[in-house]
Amino acid sequence: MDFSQDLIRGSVVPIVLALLRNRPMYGYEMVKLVNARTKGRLEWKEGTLYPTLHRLQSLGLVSARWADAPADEAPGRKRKYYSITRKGRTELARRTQEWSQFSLSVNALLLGGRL
Amino acid sequence: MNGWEELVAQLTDRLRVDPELRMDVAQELRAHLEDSAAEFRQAGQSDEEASASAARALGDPQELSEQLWQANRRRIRIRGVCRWAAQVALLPAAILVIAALVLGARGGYSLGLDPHGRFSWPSDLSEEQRFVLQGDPAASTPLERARSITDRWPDNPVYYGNYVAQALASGDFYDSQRHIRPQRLGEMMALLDKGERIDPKNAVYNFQKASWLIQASSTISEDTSRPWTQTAPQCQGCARHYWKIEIRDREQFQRGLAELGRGLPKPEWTCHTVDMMQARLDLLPQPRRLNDWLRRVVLQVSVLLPSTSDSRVLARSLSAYAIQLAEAGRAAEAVDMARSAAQMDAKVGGRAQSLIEVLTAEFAYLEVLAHAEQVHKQLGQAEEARKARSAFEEELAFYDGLSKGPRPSQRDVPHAGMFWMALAPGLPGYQIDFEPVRSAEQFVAAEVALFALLWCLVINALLLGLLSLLSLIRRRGADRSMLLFVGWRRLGSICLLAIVLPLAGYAFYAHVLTAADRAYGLNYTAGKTLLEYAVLIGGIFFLLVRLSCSAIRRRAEEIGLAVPPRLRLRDRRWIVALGALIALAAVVYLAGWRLGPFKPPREGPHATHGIGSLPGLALAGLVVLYLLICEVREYAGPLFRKPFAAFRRTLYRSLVPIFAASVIVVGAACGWGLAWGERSAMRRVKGMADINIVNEVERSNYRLLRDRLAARHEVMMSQGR
Repeated sequence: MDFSQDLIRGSVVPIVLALLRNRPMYGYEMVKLVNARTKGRLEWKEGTLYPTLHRLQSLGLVSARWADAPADEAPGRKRKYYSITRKGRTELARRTQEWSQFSLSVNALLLGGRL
Repeated sequence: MNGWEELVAQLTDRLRVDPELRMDVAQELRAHLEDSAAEFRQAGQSDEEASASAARALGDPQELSEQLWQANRRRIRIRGVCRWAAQVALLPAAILVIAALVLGARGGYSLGLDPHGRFSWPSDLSEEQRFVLQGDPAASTPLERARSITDRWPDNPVYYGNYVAQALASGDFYDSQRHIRPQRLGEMMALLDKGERIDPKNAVYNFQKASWLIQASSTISEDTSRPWTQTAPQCQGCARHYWKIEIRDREQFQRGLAELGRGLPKPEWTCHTVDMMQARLDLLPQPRRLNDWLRRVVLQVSVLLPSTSDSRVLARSLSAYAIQLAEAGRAAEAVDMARSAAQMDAKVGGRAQSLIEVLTAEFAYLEVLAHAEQVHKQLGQAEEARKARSAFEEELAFYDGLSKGPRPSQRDVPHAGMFWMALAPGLPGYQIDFEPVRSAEQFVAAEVALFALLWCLVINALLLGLLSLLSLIRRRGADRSMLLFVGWRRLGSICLLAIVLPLAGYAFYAHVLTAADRAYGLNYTAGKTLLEYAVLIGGIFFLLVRLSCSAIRRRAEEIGLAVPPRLRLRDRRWIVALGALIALAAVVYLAGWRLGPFKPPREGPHATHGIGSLPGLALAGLVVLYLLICEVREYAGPLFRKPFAAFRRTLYRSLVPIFAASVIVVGAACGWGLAWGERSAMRRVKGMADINIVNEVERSNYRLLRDRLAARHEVMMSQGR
C-alpha cells in the first residue's frame, strides 16, 4: 500500500532524527535503511532527504562532518556523516510524544477506540 | 566522469553565492550518486545504466534544486555575515588589540618630550599642577619657567628657593673664570634679600649673601709656603696648603661677616631644590607600569643640584681670615672666626638633603678643622691645637669608615635586573630590594615577546591579505579564491594545540619547575630568557601556521578542491634533522644553564655585561632562522604547481582570519595577564624597592655623616647660646 505524499513529508523529520539516535550516518545509508525497514512502502525520493538534513543542520538539530568511508566499502572516498545534537534529541522526544498523542487520537476516531 | 557533473551543477546552481557551501553540497551529492550507482552495478546494470538509474533515483532536478536552495537560504545568509566579518572586521580588530596593548604598556604617563624639549605630563592633571611641574609653557628658559612659578605663588618659599637656585645655576652672575660680576652684585643681593623676607628662618640666603660679599671684596689663594698633611691612608703624600686671604674692601668684607652672623643662629638651611622636586613628584599619579616609574626616575635625575661652590669658598675665606687674625694676635676674633666657619659647615651638612651638599659640607668641615689647628698653633695654644688635630683625624677616620661600606652593585649583580644594575647608586650601605622592579622587568620582557608574536601574525595576515586582494581583483568567477571555514572543532584544536598547550607548558616550566630562574635579573639571564621566548613564541607561531594550513587543506579536500600531496617524512628528513639538532642544542643549553656548566660567572664584566649569555643569544637566533625557513617551506613548495593554484589562493585567503583571530585571542588573554602582573609588581615598588634620588642620603651610609654633622651643629649652637 502506498502512503500519501503529505503523510510521508510530515514524517521525514522525526524519522531522520530517530535514525541518528544511535550513531552517525550518511545520507545514502539513511535512505537505504528506511526503504529496507519499511519494505519500500515509504518510497523516499532519495534527493528529498538532503534538503531536510540541511534544514536540520541549519536549525542546529543535527551536525555534520566529513570522514573517510570504511576501506572495505569505498576505499579512498569521503562521506558526510550526520549526528544528532542535544537540541535534536530534545526535538525528537517532543516529536515522538506528539506523534503518539496524534496517532491515538486518529485511531480513536477512525477505528472507534477510546480517546 | 559519470556524466553527473552537469546534474550536480544544475542542482547546486542556486547556491553559487556561497561557493564553499555549493562545493560542499555538490561533493555530498556526488558521494550519494556514487554509492547509489555502485548498488545498481551490483544488481547487474552496466556502468551507463547504473549512472542513469542513480540520477533518476535522486528525484526531479528542478524540484530538488529549489528544495536545496530553500533549505540553505538561512545558512547562506548567516555565513555571508560571518564571512564579511572575518574578511573586513577581524584584521582591523587584531590591529586594534595590539594598539591597545601598546598604549596600555606606555602607562598613565605619556611618552617623550614636547616640542620644547620638556616632559609631557599625564592628561588628568589640573592646570595649576601642570604649572608647578613645568612653569609657564610660553617661557623659553628654565630660569624663566622657575620665575613664572614664583610669580604666580610669590609667598611660597619652596618655589622662590627653586628660582634662586636656578638663577645661581644659570651662570648669569659669573664671568668665564667663575668670578662674580660686580655689576650684578646689587641685583643678586636684592634677590637674596627677598628670599630672606619670604623665608626668614632659613640661613641659606644669609650664607649666600655672605659668600658673595666676601668673594667680591677679597681674594683667596693657596699659601704654598704652608703645607699641611693628612694621616689618612689614601691621602698620605697629598700636597695640601692652608688658604690665605687678601682683603680689598674691608667695609664690604665686614658686611659679609655680618650676614654670616645673622645666618648662624637660624634653625634651618635649605636651598629648596630637593623640596621642589619632591613637590613635583607628589603631583604625579602613582606609577602603574614600569614605564611610568622610569619617567619618575628620569624626572628625579633632572633635579637641579644646588650650587655648592659658594659655600665652599666662604668656608675657605673664613678659615684663611681666622689664620690672618691669629697672625695679627687677635686671638678671640681668630678663634671665633674658626668656630663660625665650622658652625656654618656643620649647619649646611646637618641640614643637607642631597648627597653633594653633605659631601661638600664634610670636605669643607675637614678643611676648617685643619685650619683651626693652625690658628691655635699661631696663638701658641698647643693643647687646643692638638684637640683640633685630633678632631680632624677622628672626622676623617669616620668618613673613611663610611666609604668602605658594601656597595649594592658589587653585592648581588645577578639578582639586580637591568635597571638596578645600570642605575643603582654606588653609595656605601645603600639598601635595595631588587625583587619588585626585577619582576616588573621580566613581565615587560614577556610583553615584548608577546608583541613580537602578535606582530609576526599580523604582518603575515596583512601580506596574505594583500596577495588575496590582488588575486580577487585580477580573477573573476569560479577561478576566484574562496574563504574556507574550517569548522569550530578544528579551530578549537588549533587553539588548544598551538596556543594553550605551549603556554601551559611554559607556565609549568617557569612556575612549577621554576626553571625560568626568575630569582635572577634579566641582566644575568638575558641569553637564556631570549632563547626561552624564541622557542615559545617561535613554537606557537610555527604550530599556528602548520595546524592552520593542515585544517584548511583538509577542508579543501572535503569540498573537492585539488590539493598538493602531503609531504612524507622522507621528503622532509633534512629539515626535520636540522630541527632536532637545534632543539637538542637548546635543551642542552637550558639544562646546562640550570645545572651550572653554562651559567654565566656571577661576578666580573661577563656577568654585568651579559657576554656570558652569548650562546643563548646565538641559539635564539638559530631557532628564529629555522622557523623562518619552515614557514617559507609551508607557504611555498608544491603549492606553486599549476594544478594547485586555486588551493594556494584559497589557503592564503583563509589563513588571514585565523591569524587575526589568534592575535585577538592571544593578545587579549596574555596581554591582559602580563599587564596585570606588571601592575602588581609595580604596586610593590616602594620603600627599599623604590629609587629615591632626591633623598639618597637617607638610604646610604652618608645619613650617618649628615646626622653626625647635625649633632656637631647642635653642640656648637648650645655653646653659642
